[in-house]
Order: sequence, then structure tokens, then C-alpha cells
Amino acid sequence: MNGSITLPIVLRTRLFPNKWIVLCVLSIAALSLLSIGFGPAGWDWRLAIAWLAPEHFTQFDPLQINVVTQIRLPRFMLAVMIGLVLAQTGTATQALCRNPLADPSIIGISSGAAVIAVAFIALGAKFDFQADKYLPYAAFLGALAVTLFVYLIAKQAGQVNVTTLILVGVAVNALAFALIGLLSFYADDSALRLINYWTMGSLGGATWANLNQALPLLLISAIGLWYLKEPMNCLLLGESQAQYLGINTQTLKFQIIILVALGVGASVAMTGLIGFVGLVVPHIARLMVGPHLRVMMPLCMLLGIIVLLLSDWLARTLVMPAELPIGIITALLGAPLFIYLILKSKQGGAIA
Amino acid sequence: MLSFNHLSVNYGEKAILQDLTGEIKAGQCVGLIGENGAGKSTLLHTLAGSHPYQGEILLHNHPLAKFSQAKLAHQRAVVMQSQQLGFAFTVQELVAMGRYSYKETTQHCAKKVAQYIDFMELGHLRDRRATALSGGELQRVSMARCLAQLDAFSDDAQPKLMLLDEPTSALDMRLQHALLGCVNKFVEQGNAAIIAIHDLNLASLYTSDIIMLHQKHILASGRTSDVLTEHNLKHIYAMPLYVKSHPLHDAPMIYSQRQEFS
Repeated sequence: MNGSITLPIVLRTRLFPNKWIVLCVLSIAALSLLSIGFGPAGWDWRLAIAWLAPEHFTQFDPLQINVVTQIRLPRFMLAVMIGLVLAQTGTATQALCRNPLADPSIIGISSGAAVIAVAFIALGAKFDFQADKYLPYAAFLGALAVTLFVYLIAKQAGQVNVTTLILVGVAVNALAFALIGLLSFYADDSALRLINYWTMGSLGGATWANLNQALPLLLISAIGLWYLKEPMNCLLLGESQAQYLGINTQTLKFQIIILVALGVGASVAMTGLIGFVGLVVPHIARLMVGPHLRVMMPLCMLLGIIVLLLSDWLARTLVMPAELPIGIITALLGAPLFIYLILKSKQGGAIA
Repeated sequence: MLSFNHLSVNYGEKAILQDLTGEIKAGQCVGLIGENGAGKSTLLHTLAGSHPYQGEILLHNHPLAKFSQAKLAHQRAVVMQSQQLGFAFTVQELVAMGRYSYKETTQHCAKKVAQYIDFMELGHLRDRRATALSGGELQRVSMARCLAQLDAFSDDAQPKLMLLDEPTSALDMRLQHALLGCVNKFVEQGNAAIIAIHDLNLASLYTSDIIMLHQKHILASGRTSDVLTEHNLKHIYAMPLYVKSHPLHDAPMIYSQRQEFS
């Protein structure tokens, strides 16, 4: 690219936030060394590359290398995928509702997915039924049902009513947690432990096998939403305006709902409920580069990866050798930051 | 270019428009007037293709329902009532969205965007966020977006249609005239416009024709000076009105009188 002189005006200002992208990619590289290299079973950055050529790193136990390839690497991959998908589905939900406060975990989509997932685990054990295999798909159906339900209720006369949306979300969340509580009565001990971890989220269950199982759903969601970023951008202007600009809004909304449900369902099936990522990450991205999705979405995806990698690493090292649920970390990091962002944008007069 | 026959619109059980028939030709600037609740906005948005309807709407002699959204976007654009945006897009990003339905290079898009931003005299606000714009500025941004969407001042042979819903309500007098003047210029290129508007005197100065709605029906339609009569207006607004001619233009001016609140 030979400089900004030939770049058209529209592109020059904010459509190439190279510095942010570069910064994010560097952070992700650093975080991958951190998250693969440092853990209870070995504390050395060289572990992050040792598995590539174990014969050159004789100082490491084969067992340690094994921990890296069988535990840390799938967990790293999962964190990357989940971070990306949570940030993206958050952005897409905000476009669907045309409101920066919408988020799958706030309006109840995630807990809807969790209820179905928990029902599968609890009842699966009881009826001697292989629940694991269908978990991502079941969670997807739960997420889909809640998305449709919440969206249809919150929509009045062609507009999504924000207050209704958030109130319905509160109700759905309360109902979901009640159901999860109820279901845990029917669960046996091992299922109970699984259910517990579901409600606060954890990446501890990552293996290559279940990563492979959820990966197609996560990828469809991520790639699909990526290709919808231009029309979703217009949807932020309002539904009729988007239609007048040449978008088939019925199809678009349907696509967004399916893709969000796929992403959230598969994420919840893999990791349980991880709050705040879908809300806070898009907010930060908008404050950095503005709301235009062509610029904001790539940055948002990278930021999501950063947040998940960092939170997961903190979750498994802060109370070593035990582990914190990642949902606690994301809430501890996310909630104060979110409050700070709201205060700051109040002063600036702009809502990002 | 646009005609509608026996057009009716319902919201559920409730009838909003009943059995309307009319035609808009290229070169016409049509004012849509009527009391609050007469159905102006509904008619406008139905003609724009966003409401289900009974009857027939033909755009360039093809049924409106047969157009894809993308194709329709090249034929007609809508300036909506000004509304606050929750997302802080810049002015040029907002105008660039008008080019959504065109398969074109970013360079070409940027050229068009710059052209219509300059045309609407928004150059100094180019990078301003929507959340920091006044209602009037937002209105002019919507106008710029519509012009960009239709590529209004290109040498395209096909006449285009612009629909405006209360475009002047958030503007001061100078900007009201500037905006309607711009609509007139757009129409003079062989295009057509329909403006739903409450301000009768602005309608009188800038429209060539009027469709007068009253209680879900068309009360009168035709040349502006023929329709804006004391008789018609008194029928709609049920209050004393006087119609005089403008000192400079051949346009009726409508005067009302003080009403005591009782």
C-alpha cells in the first residue's frame, strides 16, 4: 500500500485500524506462549514450542510434553474458538436487537442452551443414554428456542423494545436457573459435578475429541456471521431503513438467529456459561474503532480471543493446583471494566 | 412511474387505508397531506414496499411485490423521520450504507459518498459521529444517503423515486427550504418524489401535485393549486382557514387564525 494519499476518503479515516489489529495479534502470540507454556504441570515458556520438536528439548519430561499436547493444546484451541464465537455472537445479537446492551448471556440465550444441556446430562445418566454425543446439538436447540422466544416477545410493532428485551432476559435467566436447580435433584453425583461447572463455566473439559465434535458448529457460526457483517451493519440503522437499503431483513434476521444459536449452543455445550464476554468485548471494540462492523468485527473477534485466553490462564493458575471457574474471572474482569466504560462514555457524550 | 389501484392497508383488524387509487409520474413532486392519523406515513411506507397491502401497486408497470429488495433499492429510496441512533457511526459511514446494494469497488463507493456529502454541504461533518449530530444534521445525512443510494445526479435514463416522511420537521427555516429545493432539483432531472408533510405552505411552494388524505381515503388529488383550497382544507382540519396567493410565486398560502382554548 503506497501511503494514504491514494486512499479514498472513506477508507482513510477508520476503516484500516491496522495498529489495533497488529497489537491484538501480538498479544495473542504472547498469550499463546503464556497459556501453553505456563501451568501446574510445567512452568516454562519453552514448553509452548517443545511439543513441536521434543527431541531438542530433553529437559522436559515426556509426561510434560504429553500434558501440553493432550491437555493444554486442545484447551488453547477451545479458548480461541470460544472467545471468537462469544465476541461475534454478542456483536450479532446487538445488531439483531439494535441495542448495544443486548448479549446472549443477558437476554437468556446462553442459559436456555444450558438448561437443555443440563437436562441431557442429568436425564441421560438416568435413562442410560449417551448424552455427550448430542450435547452441542441439544444446546443449539435450547439456544434457538430462547432466541426466537425472547425476540418475538420483545418485538412490538416492528421495533425491538429494549426494556422488554432485558426484562424477558431476566425472567428467562431466573427460569433457567430454577430448572437447572430442579434438574440437579435428578442427577447422580458425577452429573451433579458437571452441572455445577456448567453454571460458572470452565474450559477444563477440553479434549481433542469433544473439540472436534463442537468445531463444525462453532465454525459455521463464525464464518456465517463474518459474511453477514455488511448487512448487519445496515440493520443497526433500523429494520425498515435496512430494508429500504436493499436488504431482505426477514432472511437476514433468520440467518442471524440461527447462527447465534449455533455459536452460543455449541459454546455452552463445551464450556458452560461464560458471561460478559459478548457484552464487554464488542463495547471495547466499538470504543476503539467505532461501530462499523467491517472494521469492528475483526477487532472484536481478536479481542474475544485475548480475553478468553487470559481469563482461562488466570482461572487455572490463580489457585494452582485447583481451578477457578472461568465465569468468575470474566465477571471480575468484565463488570468493573463495563462500569468504567459506561462512566467514560457518559463524560464523552457518546454511546459506543 | 408509480401507480396504485384499489389499495387498502390493514393493521390486524383495523383498516388504515381504504381503496386508494392514484398515479405518480416522472417529473412530479407529490405532497402527501392530511390530518394526524389520516394515513400519510402508512401510505408512504406501503408505496415504499414495507407494508403488506391489498390491491395493486405498480412501479414502472411491474408489480411492486415482484421486485427483490436489492433491485427496489436502485429504484426508490426513503428518507425516514429523524430518529436518534444508538450506534456512533460517522457521517460518511452512514452515507456509504446507501451504496450497500451496489456491487462496486470501495474506491467508486467513496467517490459517490464524497460527492453527495459535498452536495448536502456536510463536508465539515464528514467524520463526526452520529451521536454528536443534531436532529437537523441527521436529517440531512439521511437525505445524502438516499441521494447516494439512487445515485440521484447520474446520467441514468431510468427515472427514480424518492419517498420522504416528514423530512423538514427537525429543520430550521433555511434548512427546510434547502432540503426541499434539493428534492425539487432531484425531480427536475426526470425523477419523482413523494413527500409526507404537515407544513402546508412548504408543500404549496415545493410540490407540483398533492394527494390529500382524510380519514383513510383520498379526499382530493391533482395540481397543488387546485387541491389546496379553503373548501378542502376546512374539510380536513375542521377549523377556519384562509387561502391567499403568494406575493412572488403562483402558490396558495394558507393562513390560520388564533383559537381561544376553551
